[in-house]
Amino acid sequence: MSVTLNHMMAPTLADHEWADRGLVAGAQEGQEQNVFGIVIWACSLLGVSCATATDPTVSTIQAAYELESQSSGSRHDTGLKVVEAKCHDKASASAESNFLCEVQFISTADPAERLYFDIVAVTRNGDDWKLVSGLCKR
Amino acid sequence: MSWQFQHRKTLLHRSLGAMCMAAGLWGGAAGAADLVEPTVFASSNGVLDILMIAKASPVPNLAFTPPDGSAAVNPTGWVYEICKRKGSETSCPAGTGTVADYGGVRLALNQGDVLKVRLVNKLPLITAGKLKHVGDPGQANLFLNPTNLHTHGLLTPARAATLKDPTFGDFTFVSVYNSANGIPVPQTTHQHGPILMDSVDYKIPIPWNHPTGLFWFHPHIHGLSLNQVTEGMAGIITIGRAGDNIRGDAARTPWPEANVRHLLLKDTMVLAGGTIGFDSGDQTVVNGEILNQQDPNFCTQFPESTTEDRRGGCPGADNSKDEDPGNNYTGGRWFYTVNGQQFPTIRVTDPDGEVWRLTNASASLSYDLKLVDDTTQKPLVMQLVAVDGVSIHLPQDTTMDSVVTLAGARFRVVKCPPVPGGVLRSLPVCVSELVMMPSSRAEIWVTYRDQNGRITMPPSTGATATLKQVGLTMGSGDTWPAIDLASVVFKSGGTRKLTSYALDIQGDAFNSTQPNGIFAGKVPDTDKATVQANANCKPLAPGHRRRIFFGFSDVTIADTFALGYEEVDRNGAVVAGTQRPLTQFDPSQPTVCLPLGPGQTPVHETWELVQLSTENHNFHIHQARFRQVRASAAANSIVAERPYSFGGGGIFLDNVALGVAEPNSAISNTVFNDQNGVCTVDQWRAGTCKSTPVVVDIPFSQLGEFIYHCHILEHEDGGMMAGIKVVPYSGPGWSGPGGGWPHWWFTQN
Repeated sequence: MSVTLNHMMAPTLADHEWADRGLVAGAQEGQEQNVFGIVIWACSLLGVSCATATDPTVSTIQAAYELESQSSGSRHDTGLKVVEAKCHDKASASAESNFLCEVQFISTADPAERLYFDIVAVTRNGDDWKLVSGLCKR
Repeated sequence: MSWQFQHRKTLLHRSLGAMCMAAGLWGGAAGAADLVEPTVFASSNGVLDILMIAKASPVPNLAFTPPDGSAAVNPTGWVYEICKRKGSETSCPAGTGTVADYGGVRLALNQGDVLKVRLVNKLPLITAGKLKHVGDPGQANLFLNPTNLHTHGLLTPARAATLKDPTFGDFTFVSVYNSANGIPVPQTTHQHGPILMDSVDYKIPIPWNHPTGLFWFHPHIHGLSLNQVTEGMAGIITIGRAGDNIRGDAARTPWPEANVRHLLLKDTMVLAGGTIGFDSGDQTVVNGEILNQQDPNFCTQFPESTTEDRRGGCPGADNSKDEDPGNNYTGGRWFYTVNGQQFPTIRVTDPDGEVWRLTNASASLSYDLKLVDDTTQKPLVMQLVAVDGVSIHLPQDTTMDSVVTLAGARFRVVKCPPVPGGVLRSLPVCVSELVMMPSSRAEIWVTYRDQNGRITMPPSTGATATLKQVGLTMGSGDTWPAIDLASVVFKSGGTRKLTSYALDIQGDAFNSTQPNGIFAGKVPDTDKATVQANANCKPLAPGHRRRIFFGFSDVTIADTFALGYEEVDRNGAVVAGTQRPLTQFDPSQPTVCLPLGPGQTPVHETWELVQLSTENHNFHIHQARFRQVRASAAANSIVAERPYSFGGGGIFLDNVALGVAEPNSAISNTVFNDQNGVCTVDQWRAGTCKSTPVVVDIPFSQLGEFIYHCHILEHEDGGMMAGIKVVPYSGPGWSGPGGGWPHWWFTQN
């Protein structure tokens, strides 16, 4: 399931604030961020998904979790399924992770399908994504 | 008759200052504005659906005059802005339908209703250096000011969200963050529960057989509860009407709502600009800033002079030169409010008097309340109607001693004036003093009485009284100041129409224990529970009890508030393998797990609460009520372990004060000098630290994952809290998945 524009945009941010995020970036990135902000704004007008190929998605977070849970043993709860994700680029804030993602997930073993909410940290690992923390990784 | 709270060695300091207050040198002064009832949001067609926005807001009722001569300021508190919700909005419209009172609102519900709340977090960032627990394991995000909601006292499931229903019940493990403050960084230690951004939806059902009474709501973020409640985040909830259970003994009609008042007691410390020492070091504060990491030593306990004005507050004191040096709060003020008003006037105009519904919405402060006649300087006698939201119900032959036990020693019980026999459905209980620890509620009938406690008309010139916080010391711990809270004016003239001697109460303490009552009848919707039946979740064996220790995880380190646990058998021996050492709260490791009874019915357990501290704590448990009992009582006694053995009734509590531990002479110096005033479990077992357990009977009737803790929020935030899970029954006769166990497990009931 791809992350749609609605998931990308924080619900309490006005459209202009989202676009401004791109426009107020540092001088070196200014031009790129300008384009980025304009693309997002344009996508919002058209109601089109603006998820970029570089951002984590539900499926990539799921894949990162499954890879991690195979090797982490008891530090991980198994059988978790990510159902929704909204990611925030935090490359400048954290040396360990590029993105902090709000995720909703369930346990496939739970007949009540209890919904869990977490903030997970993921980072790029070549062509894949690595789960740094969250999703019950302790 | 002994005063049980003193028996528990809570010292009531009677200094010269206190005697001066009692002599009326400060009392009897006219109040300010008339007390205003909290704004009410009432349910309609079985639903109350509201938007609740937690935000910073100036408090217009509190005017702080800085000592440096600058202009008066209104301190900025944190309040709930509330409006009826129409759709998926996250902001309230301007206008009279939106209320953001520091004093709090009242959510008026009925049995069978559903309370829906969208809680939106618009709270500001907190300076990390002004927070005590931001350095605790897993708590690095506290400065982002997350919040949540707890409906205190409601008997409703602690339900988690599901894919099908992404709303929460009264589930206190969830945190909602304000995205404007930043995204929380994942923690490497224990996860505190679901994390949401900006808003969270609650859906809280009120069972059809829920007791009708007074409850309240407040945030419950571990490590931050004290701060948020101190800043003003609290309101009250009522279920049904007072008249559902009470009537005058003369009129036999339900007590009218027009004769009911709600008094929400709050307090907040406001600083003068300068430098204040926090645990992390000195921090700059500005004029009018609220000290939300409260300091009980903000004021002196009693006035320093005969002219010091203690109406609705007290002046900040200079503790910087004390033996154990503290801060200099000179120029600041500790405001005490009733419904957000300082020293209001309460006009009791109806000759039949009023039912007052009091809530202590303080974070850590305990009240010792008296309504003192300004002429005689004697406390007026009042009739106790309900405790912690459940109207009381006692058989006519209940002894005073039993009343004191059942009431958790929270009241000075006095003899009621005689009432003709056969008139009342239950024994009236009269009190002259109320000790209300944090989170307590009490409902009392206030009417003018003579010095013998008989109801009478005020003199033709009228009569006045002062509602006083007389000052309280919590063992070796906090001291709470004496404050005049409100002026009460009794109007003379008129004729009593509703009452002759007393209020007649048919209490929910009785109703709830009858076959269809909430503590006896089948628990509904167990098939929809978000906690599953679990073979590891076994009922207590017959005659066994759970023992909870209140102390420190490390007695050599101050403020390491913690709870310990063990199970004991019918002979008092500890059951091997059940012990858990005193530990700070870890939400990922619930301490107790128990199933409902056969047929998905409520299950009773007996708990022993063992106090290891020389400072008072209290015990509060979510999703439940309990009765204080005596293990040695006869089976048909009102204080017997099980209510059905005597037909039901009594007094149900959701919080009870624990006494203080008394180290003997052999270890006293060690305990006070080296152990921060806290005994160890070994010292208690050895008998060198005397502490008589408080024994309670708890009927568990609500499913879910919840908590029990000391409700002094400084202690709760410090770790004096533990998790509990109640799951559906899965024993013999149950066809679903999960283990069964022998039927003899249940023979204790």
